[in-house]
Amino acid sequence: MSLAETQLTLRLSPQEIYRLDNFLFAKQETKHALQTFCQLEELDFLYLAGESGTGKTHLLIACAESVQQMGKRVIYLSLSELVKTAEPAALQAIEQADLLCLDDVDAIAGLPEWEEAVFHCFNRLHDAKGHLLVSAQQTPANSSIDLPDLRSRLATGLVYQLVMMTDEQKQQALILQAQSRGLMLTTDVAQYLLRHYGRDMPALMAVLQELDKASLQAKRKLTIPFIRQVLANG
Amino acid sequence: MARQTLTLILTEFSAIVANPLNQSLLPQSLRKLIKRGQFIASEDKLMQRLIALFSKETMRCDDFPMASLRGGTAFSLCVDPCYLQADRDQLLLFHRGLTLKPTEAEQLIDTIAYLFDDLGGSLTMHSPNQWLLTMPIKPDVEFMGLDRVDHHAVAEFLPRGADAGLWIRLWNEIQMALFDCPVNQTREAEGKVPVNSVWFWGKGAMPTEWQAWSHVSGQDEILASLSDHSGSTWRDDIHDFSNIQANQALHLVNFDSDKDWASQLEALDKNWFTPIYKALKRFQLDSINIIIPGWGHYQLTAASVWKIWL
Repeated sequence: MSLAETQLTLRLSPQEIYRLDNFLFAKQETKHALQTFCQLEELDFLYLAGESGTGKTHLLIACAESVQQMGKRVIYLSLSELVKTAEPAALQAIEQADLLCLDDVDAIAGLPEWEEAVFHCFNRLHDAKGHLLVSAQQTPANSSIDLPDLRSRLATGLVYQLVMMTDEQKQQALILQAQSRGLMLTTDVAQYLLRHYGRDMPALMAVLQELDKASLQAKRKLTIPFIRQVLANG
Repeated sequence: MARQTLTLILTEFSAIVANPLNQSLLPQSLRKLIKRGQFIASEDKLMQRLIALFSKETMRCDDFPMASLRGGTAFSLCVDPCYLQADRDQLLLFHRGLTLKPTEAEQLIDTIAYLFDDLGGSLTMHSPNQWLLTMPIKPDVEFMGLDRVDHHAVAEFLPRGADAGLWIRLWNEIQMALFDCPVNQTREAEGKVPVNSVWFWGKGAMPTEWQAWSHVSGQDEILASLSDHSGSTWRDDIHDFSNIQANQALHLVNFDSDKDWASQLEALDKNWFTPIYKALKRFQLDSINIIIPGWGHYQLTAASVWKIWL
């Protein structure tokens, strides 16, 4: 669609809306632990383990944003992205933070320089009394990280296992995410999205983001015909 | 690992960022940088920004040492040609965009030069649009830098100090001499605006302790001159971020708010904003300071751009 054909919109919300209250927790205990952790008082190291698509990134970013809103210094880094684009020395360059969120920590497994860099980074944070939130697919006990010091450091965190959502939970999660964007998504439409656009939550969230933008530009509700039209053009 | 920091000056960008509607035109990469950066507001214009960047001490002044940068003495002043437009109850001054031929400038200088005889001053042409007055004594008066006055009403920017009355009287006499002079008659016949006044400025102090940069680039005469004085190497052949390798770099991007915004923003995005965003995210660039004269500056570290919730 050309610029001339598109109604320009003023972007009032971020592309993704990461909050603890728009995440569908399988266990309320996990939600409570994260809410407590975000106060940066009682807990200083939380470890979220779960397969891809269980919401680890969403939760890390939600915590990061929540803590930053308290006026604290926060750093979020995705190690799966960083190992592809940066040198391990990058971790030496990060400034002091009250909270460090490291996503996909198992991406550094088998990369000795990265493992060492993360270990030293943890130590610096610990010495400075910073808080640490880590996510990985495996629990520390099953981690494929080679450096023993790093494995034992990771094992000191309070571990919470995230589980894959059922289809019904995914529907609810979509509806919840749509609500936080100010969109009305009916159960039928959520089911349709799941049936036709896969069951991978990150991919579904990306679809929802696209639909949000299209709905705002076209001033249309999210109906099945509208979704078909938008996603066929996209 | 190299610790690279970049200071990027975006001239005339305040026209875009100061208006929320215009902000939607900004490329995605710059929007992310702006949203994730720490903003410090400042109304300082380009010249004030430049002098501060090349000085180790904090410099707060209304005027700029332009006369010294043009090769004048401590007793020199800039006397730059301009067009004064009566607009209801105020006089607006325009200098930027006024183009003069060397012959026109010579004739205009000849027309008004005698008015400086009583001061013992000598008026010469630095370039057709930039004239220099050199005097045997330093006047006891404070002037306002031309970039602060340009395109604004002059009333609140008139000279101040013990000799202010003398300079305002001289300014009026110059306007009378320029009114209806042959050069202006010809210019008006050609549909051009007349050069009906001048602006006195440029006696600000030079830094006492210069700040040198390992890299300075960007096509700007003042930037080049300040680089020279500070002992920094200035280059005019840098057109994209990938060509900057220095650890402490300063680059000025010329955005012309009178020309097509879309094509300029597209080129800036391709050559600067997107590569800078990527370099920060990959920790190949440690930090950046994006200065928008007349608006403020945004400071970011590599970790700042990872705040993907913003």
